[in-house]
Amino acid sequence: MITMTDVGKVYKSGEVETHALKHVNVTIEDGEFVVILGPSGSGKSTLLNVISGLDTVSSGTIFFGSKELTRLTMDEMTAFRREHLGFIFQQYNLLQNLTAYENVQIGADIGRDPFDVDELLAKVGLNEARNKYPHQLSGGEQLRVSVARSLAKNPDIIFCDEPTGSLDEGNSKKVLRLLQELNEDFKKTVVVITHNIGIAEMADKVILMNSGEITEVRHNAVKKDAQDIRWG
Amino acid sequence: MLLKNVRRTLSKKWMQLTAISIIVILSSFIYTMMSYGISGIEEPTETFLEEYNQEDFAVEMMNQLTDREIQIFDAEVLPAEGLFTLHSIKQADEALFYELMEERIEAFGEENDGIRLELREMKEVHFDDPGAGHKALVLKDADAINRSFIEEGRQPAEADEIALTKIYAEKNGLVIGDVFPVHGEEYTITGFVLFPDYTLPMFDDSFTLDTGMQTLFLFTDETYEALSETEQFRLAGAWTNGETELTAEREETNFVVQIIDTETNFRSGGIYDELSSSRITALGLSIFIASIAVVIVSLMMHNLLQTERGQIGILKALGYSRTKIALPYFLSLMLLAFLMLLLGYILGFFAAEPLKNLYLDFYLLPEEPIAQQPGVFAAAILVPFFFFAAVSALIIYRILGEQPLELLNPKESHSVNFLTRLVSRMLRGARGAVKFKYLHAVRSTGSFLIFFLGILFATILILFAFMMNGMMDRMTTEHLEKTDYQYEAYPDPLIETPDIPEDAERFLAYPYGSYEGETVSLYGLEPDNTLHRLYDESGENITREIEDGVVISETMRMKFGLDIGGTLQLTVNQEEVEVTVQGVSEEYISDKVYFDRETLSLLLTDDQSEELYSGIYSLSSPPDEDFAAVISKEGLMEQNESLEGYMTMMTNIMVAGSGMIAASILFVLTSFTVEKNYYAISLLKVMGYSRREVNGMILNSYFVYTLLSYLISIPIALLLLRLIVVFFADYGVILPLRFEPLSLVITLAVLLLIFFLSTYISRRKINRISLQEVLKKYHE
Repeated sequence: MITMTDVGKVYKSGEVETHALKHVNVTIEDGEFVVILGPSGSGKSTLLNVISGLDTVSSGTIFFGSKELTRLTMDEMTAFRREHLGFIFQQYNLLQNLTAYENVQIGADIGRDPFDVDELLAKVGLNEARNKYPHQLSGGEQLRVSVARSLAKNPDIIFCDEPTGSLDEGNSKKVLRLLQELNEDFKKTVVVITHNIGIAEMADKVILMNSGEITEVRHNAVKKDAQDIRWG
Repeated sequence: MLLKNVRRTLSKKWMQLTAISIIVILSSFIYTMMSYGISGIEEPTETFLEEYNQEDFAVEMMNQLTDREIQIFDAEVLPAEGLFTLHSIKQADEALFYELMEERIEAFGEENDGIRLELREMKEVHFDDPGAGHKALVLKDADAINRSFIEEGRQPAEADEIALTKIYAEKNGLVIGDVFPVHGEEYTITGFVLFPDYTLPMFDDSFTLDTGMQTLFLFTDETYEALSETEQFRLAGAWTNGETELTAEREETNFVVQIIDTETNFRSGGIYDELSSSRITALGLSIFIASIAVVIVSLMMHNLLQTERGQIGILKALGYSRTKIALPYFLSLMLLAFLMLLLGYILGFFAAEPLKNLYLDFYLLPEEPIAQQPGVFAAAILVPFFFFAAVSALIIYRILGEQPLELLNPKESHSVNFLTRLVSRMLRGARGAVKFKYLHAVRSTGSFLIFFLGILFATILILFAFMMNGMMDRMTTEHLEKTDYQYEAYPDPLIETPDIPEDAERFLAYPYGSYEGETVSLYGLEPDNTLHRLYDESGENITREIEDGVVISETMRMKFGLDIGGTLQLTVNQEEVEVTVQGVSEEYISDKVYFDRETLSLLLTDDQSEELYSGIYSLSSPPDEDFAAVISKEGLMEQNESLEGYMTMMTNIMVAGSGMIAASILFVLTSFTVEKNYYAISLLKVMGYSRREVNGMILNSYFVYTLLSYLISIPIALLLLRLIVVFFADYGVILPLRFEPLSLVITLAVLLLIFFLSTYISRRKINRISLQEVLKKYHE
């Protein structure tokens, strides 16, 4: 479980201070599918950065279970990410000189109890493309490699930053289905950042943000399947 | 406005630009320095050699009468016993001597058309003032060939006047007008002299070239003749109608021992080889470094412009023309390149003077100030500048050729090179991190090639430097150190045989033996002597081997490919003698064959005497008045030590220079690697790879590739160095480069030190890359 208490983040540029996060209080339960929703500049990316330890907080505390993440040193935070967190990015961020298999393998290499790379590739439907380099894959295929890579080390939580931002509806829904499977079949906590309202329909919890503040935390009584969500 | 923006972008990359600037500076610096250094001596030398008529060839002749000559000339006036040396004939009957020389010149001229010959007369003088062990070659001035050149002052006109070399005077604090003592007589220095047939101070077969201890003397003819030293002779020749093949096959010319072209004669033609090899080195080295500079500048431009894609895309979208966008990038980089090339040229021009002086420290050549030449300026600055401009323009226009939308999106790689496929195959079973580690360094074939060449270049120079270390010592001092005598002395054949000191031992030297058409020196030693023992490579005393055959010098073994157990067909005194090689003495000066003195004596006297000797080795200094020449071993060793200092300096320059180039290349490449992998580094950090692991994945592959490149470079370097040794051996110069396995370890240590120093900044840069980079638009 992740617990954020009174978290604030201030960026300073010369004399100017920008409050990217203001008094954020939120809890993410283990195994939840969470969607953080908000327009550009709402602070959702900053929230992801501080939860995942990619950035530090200016005030407040973040706990992962009983471990206070905001007190960890940089090296301790790296070790924490290594053990518990996986990431999927909008731009896929595949390593260009590695094949699809090798990109997943580099994720598996640092896991304590990693998944089998072949099984993962089969799971994301890329068995045939395993020896292809990123430039030989379509956008959807690249994102699926990125999904497999994030899962490969068997993390507890997977953070997704606008995962479908570069895809069309068909491919987006396939990827979202995959995320749903990670959550349901692999029991992973999935945190998705998006500005696509439709994606919120498949979440357990929806965190709405605006101007650096959480404006609403909503729980869906019924989660929709990725294929059934509204698009746009 | 655009120019300001580009300048700001470039200023952020000041460290990379500094490293690139070093390479650019070096490319014009080396060319300028070597070109001016060489031309600074080449042009005045050419004029001097032409105007003072340097010999085209030299005819080395027997120092005795041939059987035919003894029959023709009245032998009764000749000394009745011992060898009929030319020196003793001249002493006994000058007219007869010159008649004999005329006869020889005529005989050689009859056999060879289109030539002119002139007798060269010289004496070697040893003296201990202004310093111990100094010597001079006194040359009698010639009429036509090899005429003396008075560099400064005037020719001696009086009996008590002398001219000597300027470099000797400078090194010994002498000026024109000073009094210079030789054998108790005082001479006034009237000028500084040079002779075209001695551009190197090589007066005998020892490889001692210290111009501060050896000089050339010019006296009046009368003073020359009055000197008591043994005289030596040769014929200096010139072609009158172009070069022809020379022979000495008739009975009338059987006094000829050897005919040597000036081009292949080290004392007179060594400078030609030096100049041509320096020119090739200057050009080769400059092209090599300039090529690296061009490729690195191209890579830099490419990287720089790739990071500017977004900005260029916006400018294009706004409607800026290609030229308007390209010009600031182009002008900024070209201005930098031009300034660096100019700086290299200026530094090179000033460094040429010491380089020229370095030549003049060894060679006896006229000294004139270096003048600037438009050709050198053009080659050092304009040629590389043109290449930089062309390559930069090409890269800029290729990027600008893309559509604005393409430029606004991240650049994607569309191919995988051969090296990536090869390394990928080799690492099939490895972990993903290991694959990433070794694959990212070979993504660009050009960068990897430069990296390899940088390591190869550094390996060759550093290895060569280490192998050269102690070379002069091995060639000279090392051998002398093994001997136990302190002095060697040569009795004057014209006076009564002096009393031999108690602590002395006799030896016999005969420098006119011949093997496969080349002159070899024959030495006769006592097998049980204590002052000049012979040692082989392993340090074992092999002097007694001369009882069963001969011992040859290492030089002779290397040059002729001889070995122990082999037989030698020597020509001694016009007779063929077959001897067996029983040992090889570790000596690198000249071709020597050591006999039992008794055997050599019998050979030289037609079995008449077992007791012939030509000199003595002694522990105490023999009396000067009894001997024509007394040579101090210590003096010789001091000369050699000064040369060793020069070699050490060259070694340091080579190691430092190659280190600087290798470090610049490594720094630029690793820093590019960090830039290129900016997002990958951030990604790896986000994934949970530790700082140490990321550093290892990005930079340690270069460490392994450095090791691999080094291992590949070793055989290439050794082969190249072997070729250099063979090249010099063709000229009769043996370079005793010694390969010590330890030097491989030291070279590796130097390379690794360079590696860690040059990647230190890149490591810090990796640590500074933020985790959020990965969330920005991803470029790879």
